[in-house]
Amino acid sequence: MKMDVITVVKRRPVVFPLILAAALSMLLISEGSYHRSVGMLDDLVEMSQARSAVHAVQQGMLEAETARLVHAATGNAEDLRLREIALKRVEQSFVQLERLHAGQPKPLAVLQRMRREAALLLSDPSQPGTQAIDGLRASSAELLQLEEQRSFTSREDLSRSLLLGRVGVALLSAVSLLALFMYLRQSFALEAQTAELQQRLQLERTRLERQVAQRTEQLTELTQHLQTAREDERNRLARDLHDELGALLTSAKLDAARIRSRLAGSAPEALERLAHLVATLDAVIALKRRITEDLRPSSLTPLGLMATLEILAREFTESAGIAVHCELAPVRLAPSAELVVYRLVQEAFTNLSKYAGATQVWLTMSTRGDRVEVTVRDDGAGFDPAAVRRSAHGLLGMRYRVEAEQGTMTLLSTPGRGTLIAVSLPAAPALRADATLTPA
Amino acid sequence: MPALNTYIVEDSPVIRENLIATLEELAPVRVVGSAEDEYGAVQWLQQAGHPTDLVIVDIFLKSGSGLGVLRAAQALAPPRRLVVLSNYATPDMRRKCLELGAERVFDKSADIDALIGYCNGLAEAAR
Repeated sequence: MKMDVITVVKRRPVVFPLILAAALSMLLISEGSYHRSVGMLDDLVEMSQARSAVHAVQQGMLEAETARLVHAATGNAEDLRLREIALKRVEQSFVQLERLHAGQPKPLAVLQRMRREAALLLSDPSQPGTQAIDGLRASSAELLQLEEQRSFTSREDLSRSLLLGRVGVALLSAVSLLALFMYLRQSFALEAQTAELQQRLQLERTRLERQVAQRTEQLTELTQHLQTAREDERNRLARDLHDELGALLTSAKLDAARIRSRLAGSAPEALERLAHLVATLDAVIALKRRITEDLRPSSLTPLGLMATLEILAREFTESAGIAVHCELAPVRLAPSAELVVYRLVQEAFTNLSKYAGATQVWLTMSTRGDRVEVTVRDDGAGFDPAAVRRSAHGLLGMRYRVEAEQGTMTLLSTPGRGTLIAVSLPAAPALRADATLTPA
Repeated sequence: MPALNTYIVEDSPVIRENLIATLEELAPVRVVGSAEDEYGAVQWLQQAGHPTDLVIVDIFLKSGSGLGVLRAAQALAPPRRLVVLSNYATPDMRRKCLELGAERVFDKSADIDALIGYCNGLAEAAR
């Protein structure tokens, strides 16, 4: 949380100090304005009190003067007492005025004069006070005017202070709005930036995925091409060996037969050498046959796939000592697909004699709908299809070749429970040339 | 000793020429014709006026197969003796050829002497 706050502040270096400064200054302005307003209100209250006091002085003086005049006319002692009471009130008002104007030289001077005039008026009760009363009234008016002036100044100050507060609030509001605007703008910018980044990432991911798919396709194509090229090369080699070398060897043997008939009885030594030559030729022929057969199943074309697989199974049983149970039905496949099936079975046999330790193998081939299905199953050690990689290269190559023929290959194996290889290939259209070779 | 009228179906010119020379030298054989593919062989055998005692057939041909030649020849009259001379004389191929009417199957490499002996035997029998 703390980290978040720091991050947010760091991310907005302008907005936050701005808001902070605005809030602080507003606080200061508002406090100052409040204190000044309160002070001025107090002043105004004092001023109105002062005005009342001035009126009280005038009133008191008038009452005192009236009482004096009545006493002069009637001689009633009660009137003198009334005058004393009025004068006491005047004195109280003076005290109040002095207290209210403490520290203000101008009003105090006027007040002093008023006291003097009042004292003059009171010093001699027999004297008529009309003149003194007029003087007192003038002084009072002057004092009131002074009060009025002060009150006006105070009101001016108050309204100025209130105006300052008002402007402050308006400024703070403006600054807050500005800060909010900047904050929103930054947020939007950040959001837009994030969205753009995500879009770029997505684009990059899509591009990479497309590239991987493309590369995989290229690799598959290349593998298929290499497999085909390899098979073509083997075919060519086998054909050359069989045709060219075979013809030369046969020709040599024919020559040997003719030479032998001419040498018969005349040169026994030469006959012996000839027999040795023929034996050598036979050894070369055997070698050529072994190589050729390894390169290309020569029985595939003339005998068909089924018979060729039967031969392969029989030869495997003889060489590896593993029983092969065949359940084969004649099928129609393209020549290239036949070769793939043959190679697959060959590869499976090689694998299981090398690794599986199997004692029995089941080989099936059948047509189901428009697909030809071939399975090779053994009772050997099996393996974990997910774990084995290197030794499965042959099978992986087979998978590519099967897929190149629009087929599918399934490999099922569990350690200790044997292995099943199943291949499904599209059947060739009916009536192919070599269909005539399969037994009716 | 009457010559054995022989027709040869063989796609390799080297073998064909050498075979003709060898057979004519070592056995009472007269080679009356030869073909290098299934179609040519069947055409020739189907024509009348081609008296043939023996047809020697290779299995791998330029086009088609010796098996096709055997199948066609088997159905033709008059009957001729059919033998196979092949580079691929495995037991299965032998069985297949014998099923299609071949009298003998000779391996091109191992059974040259046997083929010559067979021809001599035929001529002897015909005499």
